[in-house]
Amino acid sequence: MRPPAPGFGLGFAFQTRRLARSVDSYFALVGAPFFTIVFLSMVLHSDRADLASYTVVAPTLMTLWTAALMFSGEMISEDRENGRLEPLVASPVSFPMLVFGRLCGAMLVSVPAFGLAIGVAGLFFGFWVTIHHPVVFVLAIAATALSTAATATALSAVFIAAPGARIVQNTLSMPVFLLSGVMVPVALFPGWLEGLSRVLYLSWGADLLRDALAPEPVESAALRLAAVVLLGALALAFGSATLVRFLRRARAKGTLTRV
Amino acid sequence: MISPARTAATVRQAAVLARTDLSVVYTWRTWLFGWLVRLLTQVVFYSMVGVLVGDPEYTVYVVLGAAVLVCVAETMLATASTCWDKHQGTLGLLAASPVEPGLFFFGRSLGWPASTTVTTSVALLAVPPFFGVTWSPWQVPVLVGVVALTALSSYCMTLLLGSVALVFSQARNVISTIATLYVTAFSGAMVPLEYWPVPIRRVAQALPATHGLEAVRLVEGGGSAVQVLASLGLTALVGLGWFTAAFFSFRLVFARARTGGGALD
Amino acid sequence: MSALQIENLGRVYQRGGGEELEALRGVSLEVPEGEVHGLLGPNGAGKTTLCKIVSTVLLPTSGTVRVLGRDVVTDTAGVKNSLGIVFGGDKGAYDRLTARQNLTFWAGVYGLTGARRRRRVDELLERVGLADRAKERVGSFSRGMKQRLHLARGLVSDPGVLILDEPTVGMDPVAARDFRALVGELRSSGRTILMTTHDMAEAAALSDRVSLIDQGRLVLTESPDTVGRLVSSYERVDARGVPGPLRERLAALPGVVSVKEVEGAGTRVETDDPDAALAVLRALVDAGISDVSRSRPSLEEVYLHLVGGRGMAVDT
Repeated sequence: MRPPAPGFGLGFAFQTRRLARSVDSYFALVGAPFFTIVFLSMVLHSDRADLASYTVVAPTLMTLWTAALMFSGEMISEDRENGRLEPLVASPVSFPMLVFGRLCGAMLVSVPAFGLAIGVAGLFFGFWVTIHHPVVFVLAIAATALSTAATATALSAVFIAAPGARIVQNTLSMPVFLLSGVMVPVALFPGWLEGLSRVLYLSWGADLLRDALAPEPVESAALRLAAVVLLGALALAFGSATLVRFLRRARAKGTLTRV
Repeated sequence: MISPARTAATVRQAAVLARTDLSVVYTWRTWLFGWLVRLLTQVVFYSMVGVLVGDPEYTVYVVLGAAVLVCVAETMLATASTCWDKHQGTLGLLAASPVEPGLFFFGRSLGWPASTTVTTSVALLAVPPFFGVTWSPWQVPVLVGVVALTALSSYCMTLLLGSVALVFSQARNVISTIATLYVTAFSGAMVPLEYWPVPIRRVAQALPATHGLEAVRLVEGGGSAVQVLASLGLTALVGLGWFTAAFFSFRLVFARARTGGGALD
Repeated sequence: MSALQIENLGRVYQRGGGEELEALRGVSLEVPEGEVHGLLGPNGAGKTTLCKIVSTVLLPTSGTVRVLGRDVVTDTAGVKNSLGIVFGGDKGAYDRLTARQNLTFWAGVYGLTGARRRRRVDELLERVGLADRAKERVGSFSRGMKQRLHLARGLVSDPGVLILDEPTVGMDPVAARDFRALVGELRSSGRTILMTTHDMAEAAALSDRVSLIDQGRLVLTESPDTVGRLVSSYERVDARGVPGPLRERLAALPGVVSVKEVEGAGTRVETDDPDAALAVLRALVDAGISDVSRSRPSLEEVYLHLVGGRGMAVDT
């Protein structure tokens, strides 16, 4: 059994350093200010300033998910095409943990995304967000980012093991935004759809973040945080197992470097 | 001066590439269950904000806007496909050939406005009924016509962005994303143009989606034929303006490459 | 009339920080109609820059180029229609189209239509040996097949002048040999061909004349025979166990260019006079040294000698 920590730390540090130079992270970021403008203009136009805090949560989460899709699609296949996959797998670190670490590093993009959303809301619309429950908020955003990285690890495992699945990469954005209620809470959906949404860690994260910004006390925060983390952990377990299985098969067949 | 026959021939030849690309990018299954579903969820996603604020009339406003925006999102793919020639290594060969670059690129990505005429029509005809809009049979062909013209006009706007993306091809996806979101925010799709300051309203007049959307709203709200035709005329006119700009921009990009600024390979 | 008239051609690239790179300096070259002209030089010598200027995708910064009497700057359209270009390497074809669709597209770009276009495409597919693979997507083609398709594309407008820029680069030896045979066949069609390569043997085998280009300058233009003679005048003698004083005597012999110690070969004496090698051999045998061998340098070695002994892969 390889120790997980070095792989995670290496991956995290590597990706953090690369973040500013990665086209993918900018791509994920450009949406944040525009979505803030779109959503905020919609709620203010409808005289629903009480919903304004929703419009900074949604762009942040959308950036996270967009980054997850982009990075999970490219990361391993890029390593493979550039001949880095073989030396990485040959090294003593745990490969799934390296991938998870890198994706966690990539999730730091949510920080500038949130900053952009807050800035746009404040500067363009004069609406300055108050974080009423900062502890819950920080914990919720950290848990959501971790679970996004975990889910992205699972996605990247699927994309490398079944390259045909890459086709859905671009189509996974909007359905997830809708189903996980990043902007419109899933409680507004019909019951059966809400049930389905509750399987997505993002729906728990979105609700919790919105509640953390609202003045009312946050109900059962610990339990809901646990739901976010648990769903993320499940995704990570699935992703790691898939990656390990893929690597074992590729080594047996000698297809590790095949492009 | 380029003869009409040569123009048609160039566009037709380049359109062979568009057709092949379309058939490689999608199978009918991935188009239907992947792409179309994604676009329809996008329409629902925005429309749900109307439900969230609790105003059925506004929800109708948003669902029409979001449906027409499908046009913009899909034709924007031409920004990337314009750059495909760069990756294929054919750009230098085109530059050495007698082809008119603007006409070539117009034909080269025609697959997207063709595909989006179908997707947007489906979005416009199928989603709004779930949010309280009813279409009468006579409105269906009119709407499809409006969509086709809006798609073509938006495509012409994308061509200009494509010519820019040829020079900054690393940024091609960022360029198209910003453009899509700009139109989403400031074309009267999500909130009426009157909501925005005057300069933004002026810029909106140059966006094909603004006028195409206006035509759709008139068809839905029982506007007169003259009003609809006026909006369509503006949609076409704006598209023509973008095409002209793109035509010369492509020439400029090729000419600039010839002086050694910005390689085409 | 010359097919290609290059006069005092210069090209300067502006690099970042006001730095300038002179890719071509005062190149003059005349290629008569029907000649196959080999342009030989290491990577970064300026070969591709020259091809780009001739094929109208790059402007010269000084000098003039005429293709069949047409100026590349003032009559760009005329030049484009009388010129075919083939670049080496993997790229330059639409991978998603079939071989036939690719050629049909380019034939259309060059203004061919209808039955004439169909005939031309069929004929070219036949000629480059791709007729039975015409319906396959180019993405699945081997490098050699792609390159043959490129050649067909270059010929699509039946151009009077054909530019081949490193056409065999990256090809395996068998494919490269087949490709050269194809170019050999083209010679008989009376077309003017300008072919760049860094492979001296390729240039010698195909060209009527060969020009050497280095660091943006034309070093010499000769027939392959002359280049061959140049090669044959160089000889070398390797010997083991040569004592110091004898080495000094050898170096003083007329026609001896250099005497040096080479790892694995002992002492190497290089000469540039056919009689000199004989004198060296005699001196060695007279001194009782019998472990002696005599050989000619390769084309590449002479070529390196001519361009100043730099490596073949000079980065731009």
